[in-house]
Amino acid sequence: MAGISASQSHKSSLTGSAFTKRKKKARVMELNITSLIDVLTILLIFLLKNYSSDPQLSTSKDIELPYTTSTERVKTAINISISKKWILLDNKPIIKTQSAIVGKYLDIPELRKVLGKKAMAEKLIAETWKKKGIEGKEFDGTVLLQADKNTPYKMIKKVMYTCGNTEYNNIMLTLVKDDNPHY
Amino acid sequence: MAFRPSTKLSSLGEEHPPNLMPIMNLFLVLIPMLITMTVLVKLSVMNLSLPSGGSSGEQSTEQEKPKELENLILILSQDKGLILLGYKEGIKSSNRYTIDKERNGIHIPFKDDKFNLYALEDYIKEIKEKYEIQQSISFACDEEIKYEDLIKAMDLCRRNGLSKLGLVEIATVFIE
Repeated sequence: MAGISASQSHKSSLTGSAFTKRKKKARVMELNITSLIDVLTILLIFLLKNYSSDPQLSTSKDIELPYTTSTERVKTAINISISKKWILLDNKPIIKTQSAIVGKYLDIPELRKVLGKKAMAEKLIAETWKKKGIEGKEFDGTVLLQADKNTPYKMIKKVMYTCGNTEYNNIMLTLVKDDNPHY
Repeated sequence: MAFRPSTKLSSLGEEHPPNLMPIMNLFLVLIPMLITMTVLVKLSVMNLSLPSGGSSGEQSTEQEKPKELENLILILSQDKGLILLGYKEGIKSSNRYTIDKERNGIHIPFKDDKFNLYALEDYIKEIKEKYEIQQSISFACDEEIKYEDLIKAMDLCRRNGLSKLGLVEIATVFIE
């Protein structure tokens, strides 16, 4: 009897004021996202600091570019890369670097052919745009040249000479920006 | 008569955290957008003016005599080091470089098997103090010279006010 009376008394207490208090506390718990917001704010600041609206250039894995203190921005133009293995035009391999370097002449015929076609196409586009009265980019013969830092000057000279022969006379050397000068 | 705290007061004292969900949503849109535009390695360019190319495509072997030197010409030689042609008047030899009267310039020998760019910088600063020099400089290199060495020399000249950089064929420059 004593047991029954105890349980009954407990039940009565639940139906009483204690039960209503528990019911009040049972509400939807909100997730605390303040710490997550903190992390995202730091990330946002970091990303805004490193944000760049310059055209994105992809560099081949086996190209280690030299450093410069120049602050001139990269422009949109065709991209010639001289890696340890290949000479690439807009990331498409044209000729093996070793094959290009051994030639007697300064001109690289394989590269000249492709560059010649590119120049013709670019000129044609520029003329068509001009005829239609659309303001567009004129052909200015700009080339972005990326080369590995250990590339011999002979190779650079050959590529530049070939560019010059196909009316790409405005050569821009692509380098890694560094505020500290390298000697 | 026992004291019972007011329920109104307790509800007023409750903390109401700000609704951060809209900010969260904004962040989740902004962050992926910025990640795609983030550049970790910043690239820069250096403009270069080229000599007018020949149409034959053959390498020039004929030694041409130098014209009257109007600009500075820096020769990066595999054997001799740096040779800077032009502006010899009034400049005295130092322990870092020697005046080469025959070539109308100065000779900076290697230091620890590397081009002595510190000496070159000192010399450029010295001539800049004494003369009004043009902003242009041309480079002539031996074929075996590393691209990095050429860029270092170009960058040094650009930093010291010689911003118009050009390349010339070493065969067209007077050298022993």
